[in-house]
Amino acid sequence: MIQRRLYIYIVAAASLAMLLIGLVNLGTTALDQLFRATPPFTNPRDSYAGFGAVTLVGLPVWGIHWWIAQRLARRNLDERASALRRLYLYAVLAATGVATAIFARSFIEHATGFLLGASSDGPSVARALWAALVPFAFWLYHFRTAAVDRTVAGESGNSATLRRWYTYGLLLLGLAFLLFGARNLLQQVWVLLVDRSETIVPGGLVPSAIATMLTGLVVFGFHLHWSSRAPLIEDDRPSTLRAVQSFLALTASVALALFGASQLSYYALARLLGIEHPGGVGSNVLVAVGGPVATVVVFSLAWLWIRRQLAADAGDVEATRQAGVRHLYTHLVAFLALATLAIGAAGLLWTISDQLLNGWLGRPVGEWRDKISLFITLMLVGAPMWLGHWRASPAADERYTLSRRLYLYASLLGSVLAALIAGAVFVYRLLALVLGTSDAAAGAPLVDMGKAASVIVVAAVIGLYHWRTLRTDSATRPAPAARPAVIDRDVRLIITGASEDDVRRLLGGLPEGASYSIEAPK
Amino acid sequence: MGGFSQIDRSSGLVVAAVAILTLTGSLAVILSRANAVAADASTPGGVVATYVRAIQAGDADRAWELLSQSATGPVPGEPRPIFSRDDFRQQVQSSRRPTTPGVRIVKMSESDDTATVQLSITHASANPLTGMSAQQATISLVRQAGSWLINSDPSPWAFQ
Repeated sequence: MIQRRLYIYIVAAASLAMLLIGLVNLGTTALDQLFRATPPFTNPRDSYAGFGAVTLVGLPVWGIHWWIAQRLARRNLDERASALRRLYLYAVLAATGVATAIFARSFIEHATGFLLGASSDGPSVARALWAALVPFAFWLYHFRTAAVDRTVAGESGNSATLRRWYTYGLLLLGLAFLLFGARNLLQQVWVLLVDRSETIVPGGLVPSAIATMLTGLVVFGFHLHWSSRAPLIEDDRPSTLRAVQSFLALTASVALALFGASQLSYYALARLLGIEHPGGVGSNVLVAVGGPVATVVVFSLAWLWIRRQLAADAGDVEATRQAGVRHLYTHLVAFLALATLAIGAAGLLWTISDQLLNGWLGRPVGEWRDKISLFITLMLVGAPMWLGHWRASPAADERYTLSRRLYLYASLLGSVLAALIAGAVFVYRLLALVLGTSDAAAGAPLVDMGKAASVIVVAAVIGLYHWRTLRTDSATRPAPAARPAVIDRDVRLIITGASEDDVRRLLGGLPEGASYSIEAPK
Repeated sequence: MGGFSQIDRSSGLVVAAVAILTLTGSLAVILSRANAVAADASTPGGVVATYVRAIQAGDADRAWELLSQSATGPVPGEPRPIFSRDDFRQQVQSSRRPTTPGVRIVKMSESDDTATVQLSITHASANPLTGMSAQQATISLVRQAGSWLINSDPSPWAFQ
């Protein structure tokens, strides 16, 4: 039976893909002909023959197999609730949802460009609209089918997990579109406002950013509201996948906000040190800071919003989980901040050693102010963030959490790996110096050893600090409570006013090895 | 978050921010188009503006009219392709990309019969950290029979 069902859903999925590809391409070819916009070196007849065949084969094959699948579901409630059927439905929803989002973005981009006069390519608007409508129609049909299945047969276990993979995957995609679109749009507006040079054409960058942002808003907004409605929210709130999705979004937002802030401070510091074009940016620094400013604004707001959402989610469940989410957030930000601080410190020492050793050996000395500005900036951004989130001696409820141990071991692992790699480079260059390799006379190995030593010093300091903290945590961990003595004789217990099932459920929590017998009164 | 008909405060703020950003972006494009370099054939900037707009509109014939003979012919020491009008038309048609770049004049210098226009070309970037990438291009022009014509490599793909 499983083989037959597998066959039905696999063939249905494959033929549906053929049907979608065929329909989209047949429509766009016809529109190209209608608007006399057929690309050069292409023959519409070839397209009609190829995509017509794909459609003519795909449509009946999908129609027959899907009709069989629907008939099975109508006759058998178990089939309607089965994980295999939900896998087909949510896989089709994910594929058609992503395709709709991509083509809808393209449609909005062309339509906005056309309306704003940034594009004169009218046929592209019609092409993108058709390409978006075809997968959307199939998405809508399968979304309705999945809703009917949920109402009739319910959704739990693997089937509910499959729905969550679809929901939270599309939520992440929508959020990424929304945030990156907003960041790019803000950057473009900034550039158009501050750049005093004469515009020839504003280009399609603003319409492109608007399209990405609006598509993201629709995809993210729809799935957020859909998954926030009863009964899905009650089912999803304690799920791991929901928390993982939020933490992934949070990690990316924190990392990008830190990156933007670092870049911004770097430009400011480099200009103070007299660098004309920090990091090789163009002539107008005001234009160059548009990107970092937009990144900081958009991803800081996203950071605050996701943090609030996580707190709200945790607030609705038990206090232990609430505290766990808070600790995980704190340690995640502390880890990202520590990485920023470590890169800054190692880079600063690296640049200083490079300058000193090259100068001492009479070798050419490169530009240092640009690099110094960058690494000091990373330290200035990372240090306060780390100090604000890391607590060396917190209260007992935080000290022994999994997230703290993960933070400590990840920091220790990063330090050890960095020290190991830099140590290998140090020894390699030391041997080169001792053995007198071809570049030893010019002093290159000594300069490289100085750079490697910079990394080793920073990795050692961070590694030792976190190793010490781990040891202190272990030393102060309270001894586990003594296990109560096991009763080694029979205990007679009299219970009244409860059914045998109630008593069995209650005694189900006894430890392994314990046994009981129930003697119900006759 | 009660359902589709209700909208909570933070979602409302996100929608409002998106609407404001969309309006501001549209307004910025409209304003920059209104203040754009005029398509004046008597100035080097005007000729370059007409050329770039013609390329982006796919009007290869209009752009071709603005090229001097030496722009499409061989140049000693430079691996420049020799264009015919058909080659040029084909290049303009085949190099079209979905998102056209923004083009601005950074610097312009003019003497009696020659001029150079330095352009900044901004493309949408696939790099999520930067959002866009800018490059510079220099167009040289020559005055022939009272009109400015583009004398350097026409590179239509650079503006598409």
